[in-house]
Order: sequence, then structure tokens, then C-alpha cells
Amino acid sequence: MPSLQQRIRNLDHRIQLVMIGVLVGVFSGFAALGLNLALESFPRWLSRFSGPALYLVLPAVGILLTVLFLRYAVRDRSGHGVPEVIFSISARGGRLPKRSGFSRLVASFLTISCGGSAGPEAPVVISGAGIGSNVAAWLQANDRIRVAATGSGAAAAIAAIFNAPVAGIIFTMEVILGEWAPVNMLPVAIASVTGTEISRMFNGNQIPFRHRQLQAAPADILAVAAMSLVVALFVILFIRALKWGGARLGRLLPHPLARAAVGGLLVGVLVVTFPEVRGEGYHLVRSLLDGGGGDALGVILVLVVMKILATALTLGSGGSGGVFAPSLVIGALGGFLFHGLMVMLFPATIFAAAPLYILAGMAGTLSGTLGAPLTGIFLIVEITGGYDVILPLLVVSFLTYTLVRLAERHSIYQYELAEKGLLLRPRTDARILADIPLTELLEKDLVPVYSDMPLARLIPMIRRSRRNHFPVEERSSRRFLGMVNFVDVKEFLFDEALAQSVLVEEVMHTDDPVVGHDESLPRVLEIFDRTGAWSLPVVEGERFLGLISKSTLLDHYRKELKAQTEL
Amino acid sequence: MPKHRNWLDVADVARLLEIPVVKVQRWVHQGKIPCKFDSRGARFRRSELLDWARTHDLVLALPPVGDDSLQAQDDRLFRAVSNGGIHFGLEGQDIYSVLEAVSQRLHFDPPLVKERILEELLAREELASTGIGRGVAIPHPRNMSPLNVTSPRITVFFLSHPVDFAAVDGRPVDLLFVMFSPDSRTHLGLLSRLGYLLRRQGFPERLRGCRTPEEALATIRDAEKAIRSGESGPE
Repeated sequence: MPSLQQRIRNLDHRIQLVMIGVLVGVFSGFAALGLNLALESFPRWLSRFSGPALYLVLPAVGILLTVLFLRYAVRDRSGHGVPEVIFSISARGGRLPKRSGFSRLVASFLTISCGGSAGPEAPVVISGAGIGSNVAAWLQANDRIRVAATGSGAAAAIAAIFNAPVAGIIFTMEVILGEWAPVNMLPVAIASVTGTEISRMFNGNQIPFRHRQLQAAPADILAVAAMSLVVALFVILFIRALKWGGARLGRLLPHPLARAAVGGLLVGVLVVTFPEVRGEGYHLVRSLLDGGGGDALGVILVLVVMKILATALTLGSGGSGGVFAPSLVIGALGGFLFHGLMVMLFPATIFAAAPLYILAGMAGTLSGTLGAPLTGIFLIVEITGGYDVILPLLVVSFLTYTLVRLAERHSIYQYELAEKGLLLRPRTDARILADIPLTELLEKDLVPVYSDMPLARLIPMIRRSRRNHFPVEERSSRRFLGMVNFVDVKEFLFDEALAQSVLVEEVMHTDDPVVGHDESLPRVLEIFDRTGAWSLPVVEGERFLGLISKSTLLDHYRKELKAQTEL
Repeated sequence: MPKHRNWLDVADVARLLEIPVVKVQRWVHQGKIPCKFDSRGARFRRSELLDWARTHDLVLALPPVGDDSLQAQDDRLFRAVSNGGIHFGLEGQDIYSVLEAVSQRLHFDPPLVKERILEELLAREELASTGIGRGVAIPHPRNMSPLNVTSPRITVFFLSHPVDFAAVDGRPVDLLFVMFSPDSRTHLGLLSRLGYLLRRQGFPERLRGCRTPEEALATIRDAEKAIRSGESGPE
């Protein structure tokens, strides 16, 4: 009697994908809803006790609790965590631990609700991905389906939290999966729709940043193009600050709790001085769009810097949360600032209202920070409820993305992986090599010989072997000593006297490079390139396992490439 | 497991695609290769697998249809001799007359000019005798392509009188295996199999004791089967 999982596993993979899309969409949608609800209600409750002293220490408390929870309760890592999902999809078939389904939700709630400057989106994305991955694991699905399920979870999360189904799909394809494979589109789209419906069921079809109709004149398009420079500058500053926060704080304060306390207090100081940088910061965006933010432009500029600093400190000191919301806030401030500047510099020109620049600024920062211009464009279109701003969005997103790439090769999600050499994009050389374990390439048809044999004893072995290479082992321990090549010894073999008197150990190669059985293929190829060798012995400890050769590698590489070719 | 034609297991697929079993298993887990699951693990529908291999440009080790065993190569000698036939009482006093008689008896379809066959066989003998010792010779043409052979064939001739073939051990020859192979790989495969059997104790004697073509063919079949059933030697 086949189990439920087996029955599902034997269904057509498209049916499996549809089922997974719905299931993951529902769970992921609720996860997003839950965090959103908690983040909305907690500050309301907190406001009863508000006071500057409380706000000063609260971020530190939140970050400390986050660190304690992540380190000791669920044994997870801090930071925004999206690279983990990207790596899991590119190299581990979408496998994520069970705790990923909830740990970041709790952690980011602790950080953000206490005033840490970070966004709830990345945690929700990780939860969604974790849910997707574990639903697929429960169904015993294969890697391809698990990857689609993991991506679906991420899509549903973005779709639900922003009420933005298209942005969910595009974010997943552009950032999480890194490719537009039709096989993945189906469950991702279904999950996105399901997640959105879940969110609308409870929150209604809310447009987060509704605004009145905007008209973009040619002058605005030009202005927005120029604004890309400013926005790109902010993004580069933001990315560098985040890197700095992660690396420098870790070095200054190696103990995680000390880091959380000090970093948290610094965030507290910022929050008390500039209340606008608190939490995820959407209230600030809303007030800017509603015509608020009457401050002087200098104050706005300071706010941009403070928001960047607060986010870098929050995440660097161990807080949990994403860079999605902070980049939207930075973009909104940047757009507002630039609009004010334009009006001041060109009083004769008629520009569109500030909200157009605010929206364009948000699209720009998102595109630049995430390295995902399409996500930036469609997210803004969806959360603002209209296509009237699409032209400036197109201009600013692609320009900012390109400008940021000049200074920063990798997006905020990629650089951590790239630094560790773990950034494997789909359909690249490294990606294919990562798929092939070294043990699959081992040629085991070699006949081992002992070091104390006279060469004449090799003759029957040479006759028996199909290979010219013979691994040499020590007779007693079977320890691998080196290789003997038939071509090198044949002149001795044809001389009867020499063949009887020369020993294997006298002619074997002992100083050629050896490959460990757990070596990665890119590393093995490096050794091939460096030494010019055609084949290398593979060892486990001191035991000879087999030979790896360039020709076999090419053969397997091609088969792997062919097998994973999408039709 | 009985060899059902429609469903293959991981080992069958590994053999068909000439890849390690672990690679097939990995492809199953990664969802790269289409399959179903039953209690014993992954199962591959033959037609689906062939279609997948074709569309992914992966070359199969064997012709996709008509092979009822994946070990078609294991009775290659028997097949080749069945193709070629067995003849008793071939007359001749020297290499030339023996090979002339051989070329008269060989029958090809479509028919080949008998002089052409003789010419090719003699050309090979001129380079070096095909007498491999113990009274056996394996005449064959040097160049297969003009004869347009499509499937390997060996014709066995028992000579009426031993004839001097300038064999390596100097012994006169009374047993001929005349070989025609479509390519050198097949040729080598047959040659190594034949050489191995002829070196084994008893096989040449048993063959010489046969009185009918059926008996001789059965002897070859049994000798080949004995290699397969375990006591596989180096080839």
C-alpha cells in the first residue's frame, strides 16, 4: 500500500507543482499576515508607556532578545538571511532547516517592534521559503520540485506582505531563483496569487501607498534620470554601510551579546534623536506621500544618512530583519529631497508633484540594493496602485541598477555568498561543476601494485589492466605511495635483467599532486591547470580510491549539462 | 528481478547511459530524469526514458529497440559462428589451395566476388601468418570496408589433412576460423574471445571431436556460457 507521499510523488510533476503552489501560498501568506499583525499591534500597545528613556534602551533590549533567541533557542544565524535561501536553492536543492519556517519571524519581530531599523520582508521571505522547502521535503519531492516550492514560498511572502502578486513572482525569479525557468513559473505564480488572497481576506485589498493620479512630463523623465545619480549614491552608501556594520562591529566587539548591547544602544540614541528612523519606517513613507515632511532639505539629507546608519547598526549588532523596507525609506527620502532640489534650482520649470519622485526614488533604491530592477518597478507599481508612474520608474530603476553595479559588483544579497565563493548562478560553469560529486568521476579500474615488487612482476598486471597507470601501495599497510606509469617503465620491462632487478618504488612518481576525495571540482580543475596533468590520483586519507582524469571530467560535464537542459 | 521490457531500474539506466549508478540516483533525487517510484525505488518507463535521452541529446549504449537482453555481447562468438556456419572436410595442400577452397565455400549475401575474398585473405597471410598455434589459424581480410560486411561472422573449417600454415609454433593447421567483422572493435572483441577459449584446456580437443556442425556449434555455445557463468577470466 503506497503512502500518501508516494502517491503524490508518482503524480505528474505539473500536478505536484500546482498542489505545492497552493499549499505553500496558504502557509506563507499566513506567516506574512502574522508578522504584519504583530508589528502593527505591538507598537500601539507599547505607546501607552512611551517615553524617551524607554526608546533609548528598547532597541538594545530587542536586539539582545533577538540574539539570545537566534543563538540559543533555535541556533540560527542573524542578519537578513536571504543569501541563505539563495545558496540553498543554488547548491542544496532548496533544502532549508525546519526552523527557517518561523525563527526569523520571531527574531525580526523582536528587533523591529523594539525600534530596530530593519524590514519585515526578508524574514517573511525566509519563512515562506522555509515553509516551501519543508512542504516539499514532507512530500519527498525531488530537488527540482523542492527548489520551485522554496521559491514559491518566497513569492507568496512578498505577495502577501505587500498585496503585490506580480512583484512576488518577479522578486522570486530575479533574486531568489536567478533564472526565468518556465517550470518554476507555475507554482510561483499560484503561490503568489494564493498568498495575496490570504492577505486580502484579512486585510482587504489595501493599496499600501495610495496616492492621487500623477502625470510624468518629459521634464520629469529627465529629472528622474538625473535623480538616478543621487539615488545610486545613496544605495552605494547603504550597501557599504551594511558591509561595514557586519564586518567592523564583529571585529570590534567579538562577543555577540556585547555587540548587541552596544549596537542596540547606539540605535537607541539614533531613534531618540530621529524618531523617523524607527522600525521598518513605512509611516515615514506614508507621511511623505501625503504631503508631510515639510522639513528643510538639509534635515531630509541627515535623515537619509541616519536611516542608513541605524539600519547598518541594527543588522550589524545582530538584529534580525531585512533591507527591503529601509531601502524603500531611503528611496522615498531621496526622491523627496531631489524633488525639493529641482523646484529650488529650476523655479520656472513645472515639475510633477513630489510623490512621483518619492515613488521613483523607492524603485531606484530597491533596484540598486537588491540588484533587481524589475522587482523595483513592479513592486512600486503594485503598492501604489497604478501604472501612471511606470515611465519614470523604468528610467530610474535600470539607470540606478547600472550605476550601482559600477561601484558594487554584487547586490546586497549576493556579496556575502560571493565573498565565500558560494555564489552559484544557474546555468554557469561553477553551477554545473557543483552538481557533480568527485566520487562519481572516479575511475576504479586500476590495478594496484606494491612498492617492493620487481618490475617483471608488473607484466601480468599490465596485461590484465586496461590502463597505463598503476597506483603503488605499501604492502603491509596498503598506504598509497605514488603512481607508476607504464610508458615510463617499458624500456626496463623489455630488458630481462633490469626487469628483475629494478623495483617499483624506484620508478614511481611520489611528488605528483594528489586530490582528496572531498575536494570540490573547481579546485580539482585548478590543480589540473596548474600542473598540466591529464589525470590525478584521488585519495581518502592514505588510501587510494581511484583516478580522476580530464577526459572523464569532460564526459561527465557534458552529460550533466545535457541532463539539466530545460526544454 | 525478471527483465520486464517496459520498466527499467536504476542499474539498467546506468548501463544504458553508460554512467555510474550513483549519478542516476543523484539525477533521480534532483528531478533531472523522469521516473516513478515503487516500494523498491525509482522505476523508469522505457519509452519515456528513451524519449528523454533523445531530447537531451544523450547517447544510449545500445540500440533502443529489439534487444531482449542487455548482455547481447556475451555470446558474440556463438552469434558470429551461427552467422558464418561450420564446414567439415576442407581439402588443400598449402595455404593457397586451402584459402581458395575457403573462398569457394563462403557464401555472402549479397554475393561477393570469390576472387576478391581470396585476394584479401592472401594479402593478410603475406604480411604474417594467421596461424596462432595449436593447429589453429584465423584467416581474415586486412581491410573490411571493400567487403561491406554488416554483421560479424566466423566460418569454421575442419581440414581433411593438417596443412603447413607457417604458424607461430610451427605446427601444421587443421582448424580455421575465417573471420569477417564490420569494424576493428568487433574484430578485437571476437579475437580476444576466441584466443581465450583456444588457450583453455580441452576446448580445441572437444571441438576437434565434433562430427556435425550442430555439435560443434553447441560446443562453442557451452564454452562461451562457461565464461559467463562466473569463471570469467581476463580478456
